[in-house]
Amino acid sequence: MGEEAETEQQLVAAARRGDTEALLSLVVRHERAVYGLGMRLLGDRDLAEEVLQETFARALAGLRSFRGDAAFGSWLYRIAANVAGDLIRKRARQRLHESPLDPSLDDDESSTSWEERWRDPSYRVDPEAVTLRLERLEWLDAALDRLPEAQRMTVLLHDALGLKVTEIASATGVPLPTAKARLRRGRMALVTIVDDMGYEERTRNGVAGEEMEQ
Amino acid sequence: MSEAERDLKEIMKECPELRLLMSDYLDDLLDEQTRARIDAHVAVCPNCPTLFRAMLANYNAVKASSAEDVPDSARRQLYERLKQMARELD
Repeated sequence: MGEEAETEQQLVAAARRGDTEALLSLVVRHERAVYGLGMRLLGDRDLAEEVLQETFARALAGLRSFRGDAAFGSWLYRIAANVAGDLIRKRARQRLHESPLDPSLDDDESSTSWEERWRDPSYRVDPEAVTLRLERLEWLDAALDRLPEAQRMTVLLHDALGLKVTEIASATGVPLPTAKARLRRGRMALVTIVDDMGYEERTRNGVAGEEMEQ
Repeated sequence: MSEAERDLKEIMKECPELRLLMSDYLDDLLDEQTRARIDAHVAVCPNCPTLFRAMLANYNAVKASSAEDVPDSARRQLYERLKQMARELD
């Protein structure tokens, strides 16, 4: 790990001096993570490609200001989060224009119904079914899509890309307690969403089964 | 109500508070005393362990989803754009 970090520092130093090969080595190391973040956040290949292109373009333009206080990856993923955030807001504005009551614009307050369920001691889920379901990326994406944007961003930056909560607070422009709450609430909501998806699937199959029997 | 039922009711009074700490537990951010309290609760509570295990499964799935293969055309376009930018910055 230490050796790898040192090599990355050397690559960054070389890239700052204008070494294109070093720059492309950094891109190769991080392109899948940046593209993956774009896919998870926006669920759209074209927009994920835009995140990829714009993130590295901004990173190259700002490379001279990278002081090396944080790992290069953390710095880069913060840029990616900003780029993706801009695209999400742009898309939300477009959707709002088309349909003023679009539920995708729900903020952090939209999680109250699942929170009530977690407060009930008798509430439980089926962890085996949740685990199996999450082995398929499309289920995870569908679940993430139901999270409020701020929670989705926070959970992905923390759990998928390994950013610290302090880094996420700074990248998303919120106080530390807000970022911490978003991570906690996002993780709790995801559990309920994925468990409910199983219930929804069973209901659908049940209805389909009945229809077939008739 | 039997003694066992009364015990269970007492145990489950703790559920709402301890569930709010699951996320911090996962990140190992809790002090030893709180951690021990959660461990003791989860060992006897019939419902909280299901939530813990599901949250861990979610965490692992999100972690595993972090990287995704970039389409070749997008990669070529990116490299060309960056090389061009690097030339202009020189």
